[in-house]
Amino acid sequence: MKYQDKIATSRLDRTMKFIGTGAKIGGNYLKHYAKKTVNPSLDIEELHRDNAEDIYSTLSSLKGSALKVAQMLSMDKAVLPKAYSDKFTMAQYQAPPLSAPLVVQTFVKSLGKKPLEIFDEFSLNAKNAASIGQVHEARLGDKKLAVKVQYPGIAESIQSDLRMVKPIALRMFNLSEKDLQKYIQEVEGKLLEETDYILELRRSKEISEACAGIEGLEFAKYYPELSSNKVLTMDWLEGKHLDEFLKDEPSQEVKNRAGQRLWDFYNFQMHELRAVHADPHPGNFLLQADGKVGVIDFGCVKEIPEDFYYDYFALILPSIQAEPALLEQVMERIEMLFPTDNAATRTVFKEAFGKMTRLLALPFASPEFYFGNDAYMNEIYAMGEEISTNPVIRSSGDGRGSRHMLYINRTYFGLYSLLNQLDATVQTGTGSWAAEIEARFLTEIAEA
Amino acid sequence: MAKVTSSKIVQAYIDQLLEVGRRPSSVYQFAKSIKIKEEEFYDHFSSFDAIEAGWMSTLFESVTEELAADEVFQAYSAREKYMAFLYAWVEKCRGNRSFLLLLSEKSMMPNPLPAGFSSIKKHFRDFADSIVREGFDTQEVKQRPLLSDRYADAMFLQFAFVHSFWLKDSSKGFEKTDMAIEKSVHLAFDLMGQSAFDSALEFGKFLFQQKRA
Repeated sequence: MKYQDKIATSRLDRTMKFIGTGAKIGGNYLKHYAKKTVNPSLDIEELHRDNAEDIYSTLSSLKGSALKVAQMLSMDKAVLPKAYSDKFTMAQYQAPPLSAPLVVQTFVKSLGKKPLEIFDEFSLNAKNAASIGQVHEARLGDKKLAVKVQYPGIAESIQSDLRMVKPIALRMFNLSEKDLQKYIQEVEGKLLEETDYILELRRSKEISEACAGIEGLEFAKYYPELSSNKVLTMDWLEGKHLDEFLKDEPSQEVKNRAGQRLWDFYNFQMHELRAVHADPHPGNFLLQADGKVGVIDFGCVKEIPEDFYYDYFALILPSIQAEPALLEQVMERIEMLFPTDNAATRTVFKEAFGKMTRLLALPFASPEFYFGNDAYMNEIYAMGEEISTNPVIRSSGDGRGSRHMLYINRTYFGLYSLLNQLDATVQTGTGSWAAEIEARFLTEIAEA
Repeated sequence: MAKVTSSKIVQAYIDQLLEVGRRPSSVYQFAKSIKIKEEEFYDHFSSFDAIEAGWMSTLFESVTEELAADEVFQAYSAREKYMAFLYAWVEKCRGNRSFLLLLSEKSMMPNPLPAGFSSIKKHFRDFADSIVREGFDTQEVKQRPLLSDRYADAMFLQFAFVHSFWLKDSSKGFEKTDMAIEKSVHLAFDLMGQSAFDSALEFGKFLFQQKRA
């Protein structure tokens, strides 16, 4: 068993690491241009690949929230060159585990007992690593349980981590300090929430009870009496992670069924619960051979504010997209356009965001959608690349889009990319919610 | 006091120290306050220092005994055993933190070791030696001429470091101490195990021999 030898924790330690990466990225550019003079055909993808590798190796050795930030970035594939996101998806699996004695110590401290005084069986070797903790297998009576144990000192290191990530993010996305702050705050809030296992337990129960009616989904039962702020005990769900599930070559029908369940699950959360499991990366779903989907890890839940809900989903409705004046108004409300924009900038942004929303809303525009279409995913990536390299947009330096969009977009990117990997055809379209939103906006127009 | 026992004297001493915040002014006064004769005190301890040293040894023994009785501990690797020891030690100390803090305040002499540590050095060395020997068997620790004998001493310094760190730790639930243990033990065992240093030495030896041949 290989342990992580050292986790950089002190601020200085981490700063050193990031400085190291910054320097290395600079080096990669140098290398790239040096090679390019020799071999002009060298493509920019290779440079991105080198950069991604260095950022990844830095972030993953930092663990904790930095790993989480890597995950966030990997989700927003649309803003990242493909080489980055491929490398970052690796961050979603296996981080080196904590030592067995520390696991025992965490139990003693937070529950007052050693694992074997609570469970009949407890594997001291972690089965899976989550970004802020690790999962152990346990048995109590005839029940197989999954026990999540949190790394010590996580909450404290999050703030210091994000401060360190900031300079990198500033450079990557070319945002102003103030605008980046708006997003960082959102991320920080969510990350800190994730360290609160008591909150996670409550939300897991709420969402899984509310979603119990959706067919083909499976949720774990949670055990408050066997949990604490550092330890979370739940039923062990059977099933495989996406990549292993696909290795068994399930039939198209099974893949479609699994995809449909994921889609329904998210639809229900978005429109009925207005609170959503905002972490749809492959590690959080367990797929069974018959297409049943187990949902785990409710650490990251985004509650959707009322106003934002109507604005966001109005954007994707064809009937509203057809009304230019109304669309512009909604875009302003969702902070894609600012009243202070000059006419030229406004046109550029309006076009870019209009194109992007139409593209992302494509699955909603037809009753059925085939997500396995790589051309569609590539179009999204290309769109992201286009936006991030557009000189007007890049030089504007302000953060466009409401802070709430961050996690909702991330959720949809994650969901699309899951469905793409599943190669699934899903009954999509819009539901009764569309009529409600239309009514709200179109009457507003009529009145005006 | 009906029957004078060592443990009763120790307990009374700790209570007094914690409540008053300093040592009793003399054995006479202390004996009187707990209603025993001064001679009876000397039957068990020669001085207050001896009480403190005895208390530390008892604490240490209770930790090692607890570990020895733990099945999980027996299955650990040498590295994990040492870590488990430190976690158990800190956990035990937690219940006596005030007393340990008082002891460390009280020692006016500049001493690199935390208060009371000299009295458990021998016990600790025996314990560390057993872990190191086990490490030799499992190849976790590399036998090196001259150095091998000093491993236990180095571990004692590391143990003292962890204890001092814990005394000063103000983080919630002493989480920083947990991290300090995790990191410093990994470092210690990485140094004691086969490392780049050994390979460099081997290579140097090889080159030297080539020259001679």
